[in-house]
Amino acid sequence: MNELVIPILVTGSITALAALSFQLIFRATGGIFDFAVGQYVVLAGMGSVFLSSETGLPVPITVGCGILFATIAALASETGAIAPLSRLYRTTGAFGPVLGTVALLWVWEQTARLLFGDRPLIGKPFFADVRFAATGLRFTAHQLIIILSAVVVLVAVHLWLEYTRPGRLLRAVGDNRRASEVLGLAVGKARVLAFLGAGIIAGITGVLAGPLSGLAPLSGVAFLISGFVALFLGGSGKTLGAAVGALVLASINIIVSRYLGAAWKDYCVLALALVIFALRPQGIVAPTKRRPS
Amino acid sequence: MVKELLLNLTHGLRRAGGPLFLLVTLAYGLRDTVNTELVILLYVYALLGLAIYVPMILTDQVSLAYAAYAGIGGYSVAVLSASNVGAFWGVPIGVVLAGATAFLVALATSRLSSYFLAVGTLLVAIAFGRFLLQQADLTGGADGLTFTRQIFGIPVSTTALLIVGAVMIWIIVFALESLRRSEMGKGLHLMGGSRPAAESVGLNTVRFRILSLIFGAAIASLAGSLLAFSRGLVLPDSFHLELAFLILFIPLLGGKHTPWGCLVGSALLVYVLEVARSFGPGKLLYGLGVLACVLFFSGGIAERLGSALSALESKLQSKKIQTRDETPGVGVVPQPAEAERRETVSMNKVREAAASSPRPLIARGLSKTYGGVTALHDVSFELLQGEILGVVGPNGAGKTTLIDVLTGIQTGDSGEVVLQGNRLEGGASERALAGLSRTFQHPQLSGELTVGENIGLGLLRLHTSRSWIGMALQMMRSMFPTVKSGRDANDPITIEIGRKIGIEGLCEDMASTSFGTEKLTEIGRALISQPSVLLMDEPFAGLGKSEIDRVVDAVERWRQNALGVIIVDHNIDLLSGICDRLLVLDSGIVIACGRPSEVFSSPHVQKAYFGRE
Repeated sequence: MNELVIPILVTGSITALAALSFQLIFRATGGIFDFAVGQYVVLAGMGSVFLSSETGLPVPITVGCGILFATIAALASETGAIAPLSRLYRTTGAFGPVLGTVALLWVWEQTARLLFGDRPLIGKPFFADVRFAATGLRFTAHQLIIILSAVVVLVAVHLWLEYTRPGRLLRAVGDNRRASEVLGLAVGKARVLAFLGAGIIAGITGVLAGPLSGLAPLSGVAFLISGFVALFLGGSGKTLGAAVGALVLASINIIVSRYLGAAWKDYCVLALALVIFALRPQGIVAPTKRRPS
Repeated sequence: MVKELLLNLTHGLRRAGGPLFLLVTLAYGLRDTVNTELVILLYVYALLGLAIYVPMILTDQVSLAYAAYAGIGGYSVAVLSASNVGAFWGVPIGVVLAGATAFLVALATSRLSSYFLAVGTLLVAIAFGRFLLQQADLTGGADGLTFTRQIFGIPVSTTALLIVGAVMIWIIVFALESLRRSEMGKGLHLMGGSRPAAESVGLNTVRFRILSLIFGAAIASLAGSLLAFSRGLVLPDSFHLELAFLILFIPLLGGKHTPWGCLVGSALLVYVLEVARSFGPGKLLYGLGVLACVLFFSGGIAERLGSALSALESKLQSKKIQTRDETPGVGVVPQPAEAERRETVSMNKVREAAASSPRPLIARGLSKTYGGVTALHDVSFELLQGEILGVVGPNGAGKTTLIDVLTGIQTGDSGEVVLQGNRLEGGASERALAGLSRTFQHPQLSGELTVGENIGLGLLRLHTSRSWIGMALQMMRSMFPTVKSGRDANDPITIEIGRKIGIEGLCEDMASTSFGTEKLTEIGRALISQPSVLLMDEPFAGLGKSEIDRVVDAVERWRQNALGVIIVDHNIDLLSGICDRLLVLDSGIVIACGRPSEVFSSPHVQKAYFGRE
């Protein structure tokens, strides 16, 4: 039990955070999937570990710097490439900007390589020697921090999107960019807000995931894949979708790896995704649809 | 004299630039054995670019499995070479396996946005990579498989492979070029822009999307086989996810308006990758370079060269024309007599059908709910022969839903629609083929075609197949160079329709026309195939007085030949003037149906519109 529940919760939390970062951008841009998000995660994770090993700065500062790296990368991607591409390709759908984000994936991967090197950097877990035991489950302080952070971030983003003015602005712009422009809403600002949020969340994901397995410039693809799949399994229109999709994905990965062998997990995820897409395309958590006019 | 020569040169370059470039690469590859491998790699990339040309450029779908499909082709050759079946049979077997995989993934994701295809295919790529590593007995694991390069016992030289690659590219480019120019290809293009519009001209968009993905997977598999033969070795690394991402850029870098762009794009890619390999941060520059290309050359390099050449050409030409006598226009002179004859034949058919059924369209008990909201409740009506039926009602009354359910864009919860005695089943495309044509509230046209070409697309309704095999054959037929290009501005039938509706400038690009012309073009597209019943969704919204008159004229003229017309609009005065009967909807319920004067005296209508009892 212990060997299953804790890893599922921990991996699920990391994946949910990555998926949430994708989702914010996806919703604010009206359907752009930013392939570079995994790279923001890597920049934060590698950056914080690199700083603490090279300079010996205290952990809160290196962690803050890591999150800052991810945020800068996300904002630079939006202002330098994704926003101009969205203006350029507005008539032909989201296709051009998406390809642009694939190029960004390489740009940030190489940036991470130039700044922090080629090899995986493994961070120190937070409060490494503190352990808990509750209701038969034993977990470390770091695992607890990961799970709690995911819950806090998910709830905060949900409240922000549903109940605050900037959050509603972001959703409105994503739903219908043209109508928002006509209404005089600050489209550019809403998108920048979304990328800011996505960058911070990706940064948190990176600094939390760094101590688990180590991050290398190429690790971004793993976050890209798990986040992408979790988002579409769970449903891309609701914050809860990211969490549910991530937990389902993590459960399959860990249960199948344990009982059938690691090789089977990719086949099972593929099969499950195809079945869900065919039978429940709106995802496991579907937004309540209003009547189309 | 010099000008003449220059003109011929630029014209020739523009027309023959692609083949010329292919010959140059071939010559470069034949010169030296070191170059041969590089050029074969270039051809492999070009083939992969061509593989995604139809799904990505024509029908707007992003697939990330094309590296895996190439891998299937490569590994089939390597695996079968070791057995006594022989390497050659790996090529067709790879094509079949890749096609089957593409079919399954496309089937599961085909009704959804292209993101689901991207996720599904991303997982295919990962699962394939895992399979290669895990099934080491079959695939050799991380070390890959080495095999002797021979076909039926005869060794295969790299020179032979080079030539085979060039010929394959030549054939596929010409096939795609024909497809792009054909009516079918233009229909696929419309499908990439608007699925409902493509359905309304009778294209089963789900099946055509799947077919285009299968077609691409087959080409990708051939590319993989070529790569395997050229090296005598297959490795998991050759077909991993990064290749899948790279492929996406090939048609985009080269230019998406001609398949030759894939060759140019792949040359660029191979060259840049070679440079990148030679020094450290090469990939960073590469990423930035690709980004710059996407940003600044959104049409691709081949495109830029092509348009520069054609600008030069027209400059030279304008100077030349001044010195020459007036030459007659290039366009085909329309032959009204023939058009008239063809039209009479089809009109007669419509009239015969009309005579046999006095009530061409019957709707019984149509209901539709969205979540908890009822959009249509038990709507029944009959369309009488030759009549114009107007559907009116306040906002949210269910008018557009009624058209969507009748045409099959939305599936009704219950009820049936009977067209000329036949119960309509299936989706929008099948109903279009059965004889329902429609226009949309917001015109859904292809911005990259001309007005005339957009109108001509309506004719697809007359000869699109209903079966899988028929559709596949239709696509293949369109790839032969002998195929006629789609109807354009010079086609007599198009000209005739344009004249009737009152559109001038059939040669204009759709993107640069007015909203009124867009609406009229859609009506033209719906009418050109002589449908049994025409459904119009808010045809007058957003039009000026003179444009409204033209639409009314077109509808009035049309009613003389047709079985019936259904018009949904807000403009009640206008509808009262031209409609024989009005159907009034309120909250999804029919509250009145009859002659305009009767309808307005009905107390229910008074209440719905004026709030009076």
